[in-house]
Amino acid sequence: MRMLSRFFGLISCLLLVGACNSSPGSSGSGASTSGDVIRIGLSGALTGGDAILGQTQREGVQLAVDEINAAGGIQGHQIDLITEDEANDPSRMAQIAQKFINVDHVDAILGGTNDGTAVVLAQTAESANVPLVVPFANGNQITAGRKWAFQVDVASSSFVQGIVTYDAKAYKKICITYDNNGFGQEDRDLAVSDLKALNVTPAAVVELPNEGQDYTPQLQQLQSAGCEVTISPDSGTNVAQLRKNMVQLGYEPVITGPNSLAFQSMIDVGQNFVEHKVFFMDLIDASKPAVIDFQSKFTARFGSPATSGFELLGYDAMKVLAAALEKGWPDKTKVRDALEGLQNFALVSGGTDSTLSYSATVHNRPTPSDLVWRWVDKGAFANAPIPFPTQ
Amino acid sequence: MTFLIQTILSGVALGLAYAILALSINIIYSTFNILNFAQGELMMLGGMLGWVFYSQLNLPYPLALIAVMGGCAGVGILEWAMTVWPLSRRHATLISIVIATLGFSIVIRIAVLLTMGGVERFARPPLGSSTVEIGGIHLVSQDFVIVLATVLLLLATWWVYTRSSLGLALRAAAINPEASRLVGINVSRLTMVVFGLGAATAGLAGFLLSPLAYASPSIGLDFAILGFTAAVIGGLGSWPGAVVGGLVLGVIEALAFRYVSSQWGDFLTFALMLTILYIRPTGLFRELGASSA
Amino acid sequence: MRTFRDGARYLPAAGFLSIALASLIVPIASGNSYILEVASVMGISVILALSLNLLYGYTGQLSFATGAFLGIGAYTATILTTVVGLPFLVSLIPAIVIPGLVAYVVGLPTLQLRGNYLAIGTLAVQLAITAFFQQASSLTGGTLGIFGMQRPTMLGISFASDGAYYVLISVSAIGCYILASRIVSSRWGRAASAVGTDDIAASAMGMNPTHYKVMMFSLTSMMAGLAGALFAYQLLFISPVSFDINESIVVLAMVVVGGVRSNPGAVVGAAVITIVQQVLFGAGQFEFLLFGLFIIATLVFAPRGLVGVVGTVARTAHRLASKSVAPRVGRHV
Repeated sequence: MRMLSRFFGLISCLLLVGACNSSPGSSGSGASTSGDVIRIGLSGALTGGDAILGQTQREGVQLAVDEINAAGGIQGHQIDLITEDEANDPSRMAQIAQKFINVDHVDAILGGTNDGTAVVLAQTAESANVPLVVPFANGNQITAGRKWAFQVDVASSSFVQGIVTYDAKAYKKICITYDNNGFGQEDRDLAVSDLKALNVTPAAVVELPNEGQDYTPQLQQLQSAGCEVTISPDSGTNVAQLRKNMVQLGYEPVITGPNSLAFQSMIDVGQNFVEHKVFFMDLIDASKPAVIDFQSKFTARFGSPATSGFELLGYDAMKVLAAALEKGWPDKTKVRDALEGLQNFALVSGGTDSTLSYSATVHNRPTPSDLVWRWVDKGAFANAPIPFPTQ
Repeated sequence: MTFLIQTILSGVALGLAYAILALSINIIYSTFNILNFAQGELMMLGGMLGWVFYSQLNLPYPLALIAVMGGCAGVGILEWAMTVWPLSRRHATLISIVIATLGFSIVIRIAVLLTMGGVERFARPPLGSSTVEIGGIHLVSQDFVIVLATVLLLLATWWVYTRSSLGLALRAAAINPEASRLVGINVSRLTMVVFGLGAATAGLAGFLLSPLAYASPSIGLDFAILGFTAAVIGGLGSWPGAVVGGLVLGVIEALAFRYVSSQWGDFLTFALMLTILYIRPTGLFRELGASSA
Repeated sequence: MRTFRDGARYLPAAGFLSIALASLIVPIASGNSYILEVASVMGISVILALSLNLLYGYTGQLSFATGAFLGIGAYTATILTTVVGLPFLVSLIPAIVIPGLVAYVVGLPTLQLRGNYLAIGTLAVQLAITAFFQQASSLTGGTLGIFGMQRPTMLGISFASDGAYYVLISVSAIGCYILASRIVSSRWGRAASAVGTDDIAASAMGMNPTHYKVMMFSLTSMMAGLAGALFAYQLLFISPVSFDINESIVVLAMVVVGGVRSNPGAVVGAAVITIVQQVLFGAGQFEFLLFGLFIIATLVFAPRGLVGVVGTVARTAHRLASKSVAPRVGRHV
């Protein structure tokens, strides 16, 4: 009994001690003096369903960090990147954010790979006055009304607008298929209202269950509605499966969607089923000189080129942050001001001449013209011909 | 009308795969009353090993099949050694064993994630991806493979249980483990064999299903739920029940997604499982062998 | 001569008091937001672990539905606050009561099931409710979740700061611990425990096992609902992913690792699992692997959990140290 009580007393001390000393084995997060290195916390989903997002984000950011460090760093100091896995869990994200700020003493944070975790990250950064740059979560609530959070990705409403504009012009019967997650549901609602603004009602709105093995029943719903094209904010593998079922049934509407389709797994799983049949808007323009240059650097570092705009967004986010740190470090408020003062910063992501400008009221990227249509050609992603070839 | 039949048949193909999984659950349950929560991950493992052996290493199909089932059996035996064997030696409660299998399911999932990566993989269909059209109904070659495999599996299971000495030992142990020990049956080793067989069967289900879609390391939990639902519908522990339960589940799911709602299909599946549990927990078929609950 | 037992009467209360005070004061005194964050998560986890321990440890009903009821509490509090504008304390009431009602309705048929069927049944309940959170988007915001919660203000005092809000969590956790202890030592609680040990024997003695099981299910779901409301006001954002089957499994792990059938065990389990997660953050996927192995290892080597281990160590130490004490045979025990 006595031992038990003492043991519990130990637990509460352990809490204090353990939390203070907790610095897990990610790249060199020592408690050294803040004069030596510039510490940047990077958070992304590295496990779970969205693991590919965290991975691509990390690769893009890492490439930028390597480049900057090789060129002498920021104000002569090297960047120390501290990576954590938010695992798509908002509660875990809050703990990681606090750890970055109060244990690792970071100078700035990058990350938040889905809207939910990005909002939690933004909340925490805001109350701690730490600059945050979010590479690709693009929901509105992340930066709205906040002083310290900035987004680099084009808003999802812009993606949907771009898709709807094309589809409404080229096709009569439009349907929507969507993933059962926050992003899919949000894009579905955006698509419905954008179509409504053009006086178009979708012929069918169908959910594709996540990682389903067979979409024949859902496809039949589309078929009986007579769909010619689908707007599909889905994962690449779900669309690959949909394509398989389409070929099986002999009913093949055109598939259009945002860059959620832009992952290598769509090609790996879809094989020749997705060749020339799936069109998506993305932020990677293969004909742009800056992108060609980026790809050769990326391939040299990671062994194969970047497949989608996500790696580019990670790279751009780090470069944007570095530019601000160069101006304002070590004063976090000066860094923030530098971010707000960003004008016409040349980006790798997006179409030719795409640049980023922030201001006191604009902390995101509302430029739909940055988007590029892509498709699968000869087993790899490439810029798509416009208008889509009819087959 | 052809639409309806097409919907139903797409449900049948999936349903048979669920049936094989339910069968694997019942093999273990009917003998030892243990609900192995890792069966879903074992099915996932079968799909992933199939990708490794058949799609990546390009082994001939029969060899890949043996490798997949053997690999899964090995993991099943490892599970027995780490969870069931030590716990039953310590006379732990059944619920403890169930929780331990849950812990092991997590171990399988992460181990696969670490060794084979988290991305979905293409699983090559042995007879190619061509579509066959019969009277307006479209079928893929893998559908036939699944049907054939199910029939063979059922025959094999029937033969083992009714005609072999192993089957005799299994039935004896199911009815009365103590008496079986007295007549010289090594119940401990039998448990090991049963776990191996159950795992191999689950792996087979995964290997058969993955060419329809893909092999992915994160679908183990979904499989587990579907497998348990199918087993419960048909009757936990019953082999014809497993087949009927799987078919019923597959077809009802397909019909629900097509005609009721694409959104609430999952919810309806779980509501169905609960309804069966409330109204007729023993399922459609009375279970053979071990006593209930 | 004073025996061990005489002084021991006061030790549990003294021990409890010291821990309760320490857990309340230490994180706030540290002034470190990270420690407060971890302590807040731990406090909420303690409530959940206590609830599942009462249901599973004492009443023997294995439930996978903890996450679901956590979620019902969280969504109730959030929706009523963001849509209707209810103040904190008022929103707590439905956040506690509604999960209890749902649990009662769902529990009546489900808790008639036994053993393996019960496990599957609660699993189906958990999954159905998660699916509901994801699909009923006009009510729950769907998979995207609900933003816009604010920290509460009561009696003119703002609890917006992490430290101030932690006071609320800590007080609630301590309150739940006292409640759980009272339940366990009450007559009703002992009857429930009898049902948990052997419900057939209990019904042979004239008790209605189903009544105790359903009432305990309902009661513990209310505790989970309270935890859910506290969670919503702490994180200020809720989405279905925080209330899914994985959450239920983590809470089950806390109960198993800490020690079933023991309220201190639930507290220890919640604390240990939370700390382990912090330490293993950087280990990536290994964290979850170790988690699974941890569960198995505890069940095999320390079936009575950490408190069981500590108890065994304490007894062995006591026995070794008190060889000179007169034998207890013949003493009034």
